Formats: sequence, structure tokens, C-alpha cells
Amino acid sequence: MSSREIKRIGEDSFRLDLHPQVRQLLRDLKEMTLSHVEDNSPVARRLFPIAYQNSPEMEMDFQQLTREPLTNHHRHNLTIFERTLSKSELNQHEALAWMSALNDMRLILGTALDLSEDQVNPAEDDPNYEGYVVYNLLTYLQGVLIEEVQNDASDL
Amino acid sequence: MTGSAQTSPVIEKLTFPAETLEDDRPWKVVVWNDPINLMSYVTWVLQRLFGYSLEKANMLMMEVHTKGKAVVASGDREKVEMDAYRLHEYGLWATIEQD
Repeated sequence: MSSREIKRIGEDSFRLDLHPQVRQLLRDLKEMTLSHVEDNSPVARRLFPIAYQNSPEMEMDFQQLTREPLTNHHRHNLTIFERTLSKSELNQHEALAWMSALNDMRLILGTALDLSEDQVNPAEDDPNYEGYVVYNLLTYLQGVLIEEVQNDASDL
Repeated sequence: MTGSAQTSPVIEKLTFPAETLEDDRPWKVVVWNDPINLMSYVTWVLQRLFGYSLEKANMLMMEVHTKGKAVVASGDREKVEMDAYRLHEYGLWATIEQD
């Protein structure tokens, strides 16, 4: 029997098997993530990348055009994520919202931790140890979700 | 008046407005390496957004990972702005450049 936390069980369905404490942690992280997005916080900068690195004028026009819809996009997916956090099954649409929400959380937490690629296994006395543990949990869940979303339903 | 239709190609080129020449250069979308986005996620996004095969998406992802960046799409400015916006929706670090 598979013990995967997220498992595709049909063309449009995924089984969700998460510990209640993990669900609560994810709910708290969603709140934190959404507040950073809404407040235009510096740690949310990876969610709003600069498109025109060499032209401030073009960048300003691009930001004026995209900032609001991009904020709405993140808010929308985080809201679906929260609404479905206590469910035992997700449909494809909800699973894709989870993908977006988990990635947003990783981008914000990874930015806050000032992560570089060789910093994934911190020492237990590292002041940010808990943050790294949470980050690694999000990485694990997103990795599982990517595999399951890519799983061809006809192989089930 | 005579000779207006016989302008030397060289002179024509020299007097061509620079701004118009710039506008003719193709636009491209560049995805940059970052320490947060998973390699499998970048591949998945490129397949999903652009309909690339797993092989092509994987090759572009590896180019991003090993060389620091890769051109993932090109076209007119309107198209690449939409491409960059959609990549930003997925949290990828995408920028727009002109050749």
C-alpha cells in the first residue's frame, strides 16, 4: 500500500493523506504567504520578478499592466488551497492550485531564509533550523505533487 | 525632381531611423536559474505553458541550471510579454530581452 501524502487516483482526482498537524502548519503558512503578497513585502519579491532589466520605463509599464492580475492570481490559488486543506480528495483544478500555493510558500520562505543551493541541510543549532525544516517539507510535498500530476491517469 | 527612386542602398540604411531598426529586432523570454524552484517544476512549467516535449523542456531546464539562463520563447513584444507574465504566474524568474 502506498503511503504517499498526495496520490493520483483518477483522471481528475488525487487522494490527500496528510497529518492534521501538517494541515495546520500549511494553513498557517498560507496566511503568512498571503499577507506577504497583499502587503507587497520584500520577501515576496520573487513572486513579482522584474521583466525588463535594462529599461525602467518598459518595466514600469509592464508592472502597471501585470501587478494586479498577478496578485489576484496568487490570492486566488492560495484561497483554493486553504478551502481544500481539510479535504481527503482534490480534483485536477484544486491540485494545480496546490502546486501554485506550495511554490509561492517556498519562494517566500526560501527568500526569507536567503537560501542558496548548498544550504538545504542546516545544523540543528542553526537559528533558522525550523524554517529550513518547514522549507524541506514544502519541497518534499511539491516534489510528490509534481510526480503525481505528471502521472498518466491511464497507467492507474 | 529626378533620382529620388535611385537612392543608394547604403545611404538608405544610414538614414533609416534607428528606433525603427530596434523595433525590428526579435524579442525573447529568458528564464534564469534560482536556488528555490525545483528542476522538475521548471520542466513541468515549460511543458505546460509552451507545449514542449519532455525532452525539449528538460534540455532547456538543464541549460538554465548549468549555464544560469536559457531563452525559452521568442516572438513579437506582445507575445513575449504574455509569455513572461505567465511564467511569473508560475513563479519562474523570467525576463524580456531584445537581440
